[in-house]
Amino acid sequence: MFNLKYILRNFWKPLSILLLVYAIVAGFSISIPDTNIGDTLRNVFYHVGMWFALLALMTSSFIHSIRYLSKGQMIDDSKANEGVLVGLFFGILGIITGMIWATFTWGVPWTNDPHLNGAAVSLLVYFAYQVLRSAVPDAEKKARVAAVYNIFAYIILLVFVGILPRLSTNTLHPGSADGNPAFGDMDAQMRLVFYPAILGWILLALWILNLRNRARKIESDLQEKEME
Amino acid sequence: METENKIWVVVAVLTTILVGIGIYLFNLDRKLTKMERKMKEEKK
Repeated sequence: MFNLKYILRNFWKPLSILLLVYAIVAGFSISIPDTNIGDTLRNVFYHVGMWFALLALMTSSFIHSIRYLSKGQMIDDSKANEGVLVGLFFGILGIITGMIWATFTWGVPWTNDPHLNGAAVSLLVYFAYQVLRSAVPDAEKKARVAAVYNIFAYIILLVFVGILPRLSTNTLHPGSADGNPAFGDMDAQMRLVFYPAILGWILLALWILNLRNRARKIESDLQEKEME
Repeated sequence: METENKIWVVVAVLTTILVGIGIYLFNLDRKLTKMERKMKEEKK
């Protein structure tokens, strides 16, 4: 169990927790630039992480959808589906944490902002992916339709979360003219917490995805056995 | 760290929760590994 191969394949899992513990301890103790939002600026280490986790999960899902279309193996369809499910979980957390933060900095939980609306539209597109799946009874057909839809969903996600918000000028949310929606005007010390935090969230999300995929695999293997 | 404000108590709580989640996921991982091994052996 504790051979080198096992360690190499799994070390990133506890690393995610280690990075996030660092993100909490350092994120709460470093001194941050004096802005008009005060200590709530520290939310950037946690709230933004949700969106990077979502992006990583949807990217994984997108890759598996393409793989399904080229190879036709059901396991890839299952992995694409799980990626979207875990991604939606992190997306909902991102929306909720964003609304909490906005309430205290902008005074309202939601503004008519391209960042916010873009995120909401993207999540709805992925909810529709789940609805689509449940609407097609035949497994093979479902897999194919879902994979094609998922490719378009990913493009929509990139446009609405990655491109359109950066082009917007009429926005409160950081990161339009200054390039990245997440990085804004962080100083060097904040970046030293921010990057490990983001990596930690992404690894944690991938760990959860990994667990779900493996559980699904066992489930389908057992079903196969019952059929025999 | 501003000990006056006792923010470290919050840090301790959050760290505990996070480590707890880590242990939970770790155990789940091991459970799945065991099941995977069992499935493999039964296939043989």
